[in-house]
Amino acid sequence: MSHVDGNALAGVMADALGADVTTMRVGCAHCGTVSIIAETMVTFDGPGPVAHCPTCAAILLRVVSADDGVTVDVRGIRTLTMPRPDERVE
Amino acid sequence: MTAAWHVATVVAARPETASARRIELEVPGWPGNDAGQHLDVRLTAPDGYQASRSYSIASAGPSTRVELAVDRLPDGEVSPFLVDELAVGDQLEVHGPLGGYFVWRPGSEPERPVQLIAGGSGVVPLLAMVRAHAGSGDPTPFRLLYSVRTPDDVFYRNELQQAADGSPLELDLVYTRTSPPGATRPAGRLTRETLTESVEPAQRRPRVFICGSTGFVEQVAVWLQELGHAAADIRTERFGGT
Repeated sequence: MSHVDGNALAGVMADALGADVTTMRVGCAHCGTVSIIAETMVTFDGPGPVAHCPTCAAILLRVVSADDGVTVDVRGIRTLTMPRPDERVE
Repeated sequence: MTAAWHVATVVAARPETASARRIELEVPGWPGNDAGQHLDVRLTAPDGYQASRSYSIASAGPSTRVELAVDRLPDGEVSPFLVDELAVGDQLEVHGPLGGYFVWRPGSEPERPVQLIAGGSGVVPLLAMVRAHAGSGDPTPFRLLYSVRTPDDVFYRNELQQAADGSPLELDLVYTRTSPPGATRPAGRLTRETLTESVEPAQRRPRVFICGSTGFVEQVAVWLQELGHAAADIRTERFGGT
């Protein structure tokens, strides 16, 4: 599986949510591993980027852009943690 | 520095290597960017088909001038156009600055050395960090290990050599296919042994930034952890490939 990493989600997610998601921490609903979104594995085999857990490779989220908006399927996520403001970049 | 879509105009372009090109953009409204951030380039064909790709930014700071160095991927959708066809005066849609994770800022944790590790064109965001470091006079020790196929494939050779000669940067080049005459190390893939010799030791607790192909980055990150570097001290950016 050829993949890039969660840094590649920055643009499409900034469009969808208006925020930088790459520094957020995400908990995998499958194995519980908490990882920084920038460190997740991202594949582009389908209609939009798909982020996978770096530990168990389960799908964390999928992003699909359509004419009526950007949908983020988050069923693979247990928790999503924003970094504290002093850890944030912007 | 909020990300937004901008219309950029190409103000300069020149070959960087046989397969790569340095592209300078003027981006009105660009809020500046941190060293290590990237942007998305979106191309729209006459029939409306759009393709976008992420590129690391080689420049850093408050300027509206943004520099990219793009390597041509043979079967790429966007990079062959940027390397071979884009002309000075052309306009591009760019989205950024993006990413707050793989960044270095002057003045952050100056007591800890910084170890940069590049595979091929993965040197681009690390060059931005070298520039930000040199430009700010930040006293943090900086070291760059750059794995590259041949001497002709080195990006920003003169600038990196100048930074190394001026001593804000310690530079280690590892050639994987062809080494220059007089090289002390034969050409070959980066090994754990060479890595050990060429990076800040774990006892100094360097902050490590690795950028390159997925396979390169993951192998180096594993070796560094075997050498005692903490996973939390290693930040990575992987751009696919093998």
